[in-house]
Amino acid sequence: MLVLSRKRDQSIIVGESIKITVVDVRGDTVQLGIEAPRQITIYREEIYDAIREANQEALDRGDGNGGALPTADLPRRKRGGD
Amino acid sequence: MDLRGTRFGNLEFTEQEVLELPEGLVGLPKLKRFLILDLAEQAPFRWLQSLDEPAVGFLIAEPGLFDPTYSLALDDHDLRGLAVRSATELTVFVLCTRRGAWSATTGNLLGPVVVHTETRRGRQLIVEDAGYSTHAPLHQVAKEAAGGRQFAAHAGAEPILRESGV
Repeated sequence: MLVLSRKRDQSIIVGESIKITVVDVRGDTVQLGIEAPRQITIYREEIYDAIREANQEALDRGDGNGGALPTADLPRRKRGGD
Repeated sequence: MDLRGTRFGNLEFTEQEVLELPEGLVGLPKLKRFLILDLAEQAPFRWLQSLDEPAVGFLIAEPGLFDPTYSLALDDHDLRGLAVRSATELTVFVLCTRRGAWSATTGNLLGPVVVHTETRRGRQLIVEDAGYSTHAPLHQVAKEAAGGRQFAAHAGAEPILRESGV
């Protein structure tokens, strides 16, 4: 991991298109400003991780993962017309 | 077309039925193409069947089943690439986790999937700052746990999509 020290109002540039600026520092909280292209999505890590874990939990291989539902519960798909 | 090796045996499907999430699901980028199957005996739950991995599927439901007041404020960034002109073109579902009894099923309201009804393209969003849970209990169950005696309507109300700059 690259570790850089920055003061308030100083920035780092990531690649060609992402700029991260230290907006404010108060106690143990750092406020960051992030400028990035529209197609890049930025999340707080703990929220992203929560979704990722929930997706893994919901993923059902029918082998007991994610609270598998017994296959017997489920009707075969009935297809009309073909 | 034919999809072999699902828990339902072989499924026939047409390209028009395919639901596409070009970015995949969060943490599961390879799962991009799906079918939605009705589970007659488990309504209002449905099944999101992966076309990329036939053994894989997800239980899904409308978010209203867990929270009748569920609403999303979507911005341009959330909807990028989906060519949405109006919120009425979108449907929303959430991935569910079932632990034993159906009544113990929870819904991931923090990471809903929005889909353009016509193009069938969609995206899983992350709804920050709204206080939604990844494991929201069924509304009815939550009410009973809170001591409410009323029988909550079990049908998922269509979530209200608030447009902002679409």
